Amino acid sequence: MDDSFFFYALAALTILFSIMAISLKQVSKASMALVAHLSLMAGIYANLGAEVIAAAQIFIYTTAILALIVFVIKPLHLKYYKQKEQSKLGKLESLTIAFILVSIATFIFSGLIFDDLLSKHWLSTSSLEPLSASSLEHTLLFHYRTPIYLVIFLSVLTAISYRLIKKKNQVHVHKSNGGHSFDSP
Amino acid sequence: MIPLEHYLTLASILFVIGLLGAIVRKNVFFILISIQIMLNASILTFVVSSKYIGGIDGQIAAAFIMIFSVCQATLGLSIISHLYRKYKTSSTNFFKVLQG
Repeated sequence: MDDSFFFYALAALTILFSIMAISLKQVSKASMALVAHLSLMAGIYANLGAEVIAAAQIFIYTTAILALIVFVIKPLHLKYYKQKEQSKLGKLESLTIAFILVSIATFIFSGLIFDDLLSKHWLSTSSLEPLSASSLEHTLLFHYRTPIYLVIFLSVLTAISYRLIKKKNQVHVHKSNGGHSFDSP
Repeated sequence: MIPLEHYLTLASILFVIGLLGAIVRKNVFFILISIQIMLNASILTFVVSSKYIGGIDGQIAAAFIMIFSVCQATLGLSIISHLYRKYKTSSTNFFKVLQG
């Protein structure tokens, strides 16, 4: 079977387990999802042809995390996951930030809006010339100014909007509490 | 052959997921897991770059990042477990008292 099928299957499972690792309530289950994520990443490395890194990922990284789970997290007998965990951000702000970040990453690396830059330079795999450090520096500094500026601009915009939303929520809570602040003494 | 852009897109998606977990979750354990996911995305970027550009520099850098991230996980978990045993909480709201 084609290698691309394995790559896309491993990539989908990796993304799924990474989402599970950050979204599950129990730490032990989230840690097991992280172990599965690391193992699938080792599969991606092996599919890529980097067998040494894949073996190191399995023998060092995954085993270390697994040992830490068994010997550190399990003996703690964590009970705090039963408490209702309130997020730092609301759902709407989280989804907005996630959408903006994923859009940036997709636009930059898929070549949808920077196709001319991607096809001309070092990302093109058909080039037979070896890449030197100076050409890489030149490429990163001069040919990718636009996406770097875009990322900086959108990051600043996201930070400002987050601060505004948080300030607005604090004012709303202050008013609904009858003028008394929720801040601890 | 799978295009390089697909690998970089996967790495960026994983990095964004880890960043989102580090921003959104309040539990320190989950913040540590999110940092591990972000480090894995960076390792993938190094390995893929090494494979497509040629040479083993990227793989050596990836091995170093791997070792450092294991050390970071060990130290982080030891600190967090000590704090949890002492204060019986792992919320970042409580650990604000450690700020200067």
